[in-house]
Amino acid sequence: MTKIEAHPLIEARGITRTLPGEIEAVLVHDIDLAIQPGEFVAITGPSGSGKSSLMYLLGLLDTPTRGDIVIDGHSTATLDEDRKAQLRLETLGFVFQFHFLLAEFSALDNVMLPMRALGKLSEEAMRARAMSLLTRLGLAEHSHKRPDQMSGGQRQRVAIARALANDPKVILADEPTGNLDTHSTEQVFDIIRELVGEGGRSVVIVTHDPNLARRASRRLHVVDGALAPVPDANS
Amino acid sequence: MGLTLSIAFTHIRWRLRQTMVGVVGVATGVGFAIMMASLMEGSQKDFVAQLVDGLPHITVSDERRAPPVQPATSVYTDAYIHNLVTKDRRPGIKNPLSVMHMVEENLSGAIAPSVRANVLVRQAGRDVGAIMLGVDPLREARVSNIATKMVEGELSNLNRASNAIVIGGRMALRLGLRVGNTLPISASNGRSIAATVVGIYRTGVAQIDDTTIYSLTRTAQILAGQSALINEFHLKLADAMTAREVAQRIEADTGYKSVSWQEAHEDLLNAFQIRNFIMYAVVGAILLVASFGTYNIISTITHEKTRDIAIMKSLGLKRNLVRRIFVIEALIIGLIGMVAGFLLGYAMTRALALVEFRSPFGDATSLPVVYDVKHYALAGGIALLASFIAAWLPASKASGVNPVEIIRGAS
Repeated sequence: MTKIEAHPLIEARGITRTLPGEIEAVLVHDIDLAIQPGEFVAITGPSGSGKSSLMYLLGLLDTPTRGDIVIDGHSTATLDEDRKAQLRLETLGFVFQFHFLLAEFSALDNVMLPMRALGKLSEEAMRARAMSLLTRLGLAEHSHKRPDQMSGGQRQRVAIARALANDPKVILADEPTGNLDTHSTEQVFDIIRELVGEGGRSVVIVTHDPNLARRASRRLHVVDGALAPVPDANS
Repeated sequence: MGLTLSIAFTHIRWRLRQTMVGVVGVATGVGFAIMMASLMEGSQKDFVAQLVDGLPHITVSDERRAPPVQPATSVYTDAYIHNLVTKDRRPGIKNPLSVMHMVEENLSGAIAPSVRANVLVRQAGRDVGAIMLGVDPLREARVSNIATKMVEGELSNLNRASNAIVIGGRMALRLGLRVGNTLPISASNGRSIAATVVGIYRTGVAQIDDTTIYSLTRTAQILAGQSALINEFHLKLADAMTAREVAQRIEADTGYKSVSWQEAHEDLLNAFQIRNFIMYAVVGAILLVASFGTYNIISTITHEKTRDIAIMKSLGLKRNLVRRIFVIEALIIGLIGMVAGFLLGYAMTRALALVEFRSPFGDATSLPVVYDVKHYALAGGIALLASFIAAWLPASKASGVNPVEIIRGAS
C-alpha cells in the first residue's frame, strides 16, 4: 500500500472556461473536484458536454477563465506558460485519442523525447528506461520502427509509454481507445488500468464508453460543462 | 541544445524532399545574386578601365586658368586700363626637366613629358585640323595605354623613321591612310613636314581616334619651331581616385595648370554615380527577390510542422525550445543552401566570363566579371537572415498557439 499523501494530486477550484465571442460559449462551468493519489477516475458525458475541455484544463493544456487548478499542492493560477510546461513535463502524462507521435522518429526516440526535455538522466539511462517501458508494453521488437510502420494499437501503446517517460504522478487519457478495434481497446485499457496506484499514481480517463467507465474506481459525469449525477450507476 | 539539434537533424534527414526543395531554393537565390553582383561590378570596373585608364589621370600644362596680370596693371593698381597689348610669353613649361623631377619626387605613379601642337593635315586638297602629341614612347607607355591600343604597327616604331607618326583608326579611315603612307602636316606658324604613318591605334574614344596624332617629341618640337619645347606633362597615378588632390598639390607647387581627369570629365563622374545607383538597385532587387523565395520555402516547411509543435508543447517542452528547433532547422537548410549557392554562383560567373562578344570594330571581348568575397558574404548573409526570419515568425506563431486548438482539430 502506498503512502496516502496529505493533498490531492489535482484539485480544481471553481474552474470555468468560456470562449470569447459575440455569444460567450461556456465549455466548463464552475467545477470543483479533487483527484486523490492512486485513484482511477473516469470522466463521462455526451458528445460536446465539455468532458475533454475539462481534462485539458486539469492537464494545464488550457487555462481556466476563472478559478484555480492546484497540481500536487502548487497553485497554477499565477504561473507563466513555461512554468506550467515544466509542471506538465514532471508531473503529468498525456494519452490522446490520436497517438500524436512525431512521424520522423522511432518509437524509442518518441518515448525518450520527454526525458530529453527534462534532462535528468544520462543518455544511456534514458535509453534503458525507454526500452524497459516499451518492453513492458510488449513493443520491444518494434522500438526502432517509426509510427507509420506500426498498427493503431501499437502506436497507442507507444504513446502510453511516452506518457510514462518521466514517471508522472497523474496520467490523463482523452478517449485513448477511441480509434481502436475491440481487441486493441481491451489491451490498451488493461494496460492503463495496470498503471493506477504504482507509486501512488492516479489515472484520469475521458471516455464515452460506459463499459470502460464502469471499471474505473470513480466516475464523474459532465453535462453541459458542469458535473452531474452519474446516470444509472448500478447498471 | 542536444535535444533541439537532434530533433532538427532528424526532421531534415527524414523530410529529404522538402529539405532539398529548401536547399535548392536558397541556392538559386544566392547563386543568381552572386552572379548578377559580379557581372554588375565587373562591368562597372570595366567602364572605369576603359574610360579613366585610357586618359592621363592628370595633365599639367602651360595654360592658365585666367589671363595673366599685365605689368601695367600691377604698376598702376588704382587705374583700369583698356586695351592693353598683352606681353608675349614664351610658350612651354620653363625648365621642364627640373619641374618634372620636382613633381616626380613625391608621386606614386608615373610622369611623361610631351609637346602638344595644333596642326593641319592636308589630304586631297582639304585641310583637316588635328592635335599632334609629341611623346617619348617609352615614358608615354607608362602613363597611357596607347601602346596597348595599337591595331597596326607599334608605338616604338616612331623611333624607326624620321617624321614618323601614329594616327587613330577613325582618322585613317576618313583620310584613307595606311601604314607607310606619307602626308603633309603643317603647323599654325606655317612650318610643314612630310610625315610617314608607321602605326594605327584605336582607343575606342571617337574624339581621340579622330584627331590625335602621336609623334616623337622632337618631331612636334620642329613643327612648333621651338627646339626644347615641353608644354604638357601626363601623369598616371597608382590610385586614379586621388587625382583631384594630387592635381591641386602640383598646381600649388609648380604654378602650372594641373587638370585631373575628374575635372576634365565632370560628366563622366555623373555617369559613374548613375551607374553605381543602377548597380546597387539591381543587386538589391535580386537579393530581395531571392530572400522572398527563401522566406517562402522555409516558412512553408515550418507551417507544415504546426502539429508537431503542438505535440511537443503538450508534452511539456517549453516554447523557446520548440521555436529553437525550427529556427535551427531553417538555419541548417539556409546554410547548406548558402554553400550550394556559392558554388552555383561561382560556376555561373565562370560560365559568363567565357561568353565572348565581337564588337563591330573587330575587338573580341568577354563579359567583364569580378570575383569578390563581399558579394558572397552579402548574398549568403541575407539568405541566412531570410531563413532565420522565415522560421522565427511561423514558429513563434505556432508555438504561441494553445496546443489544445490543434489537438482538438486533429483527433
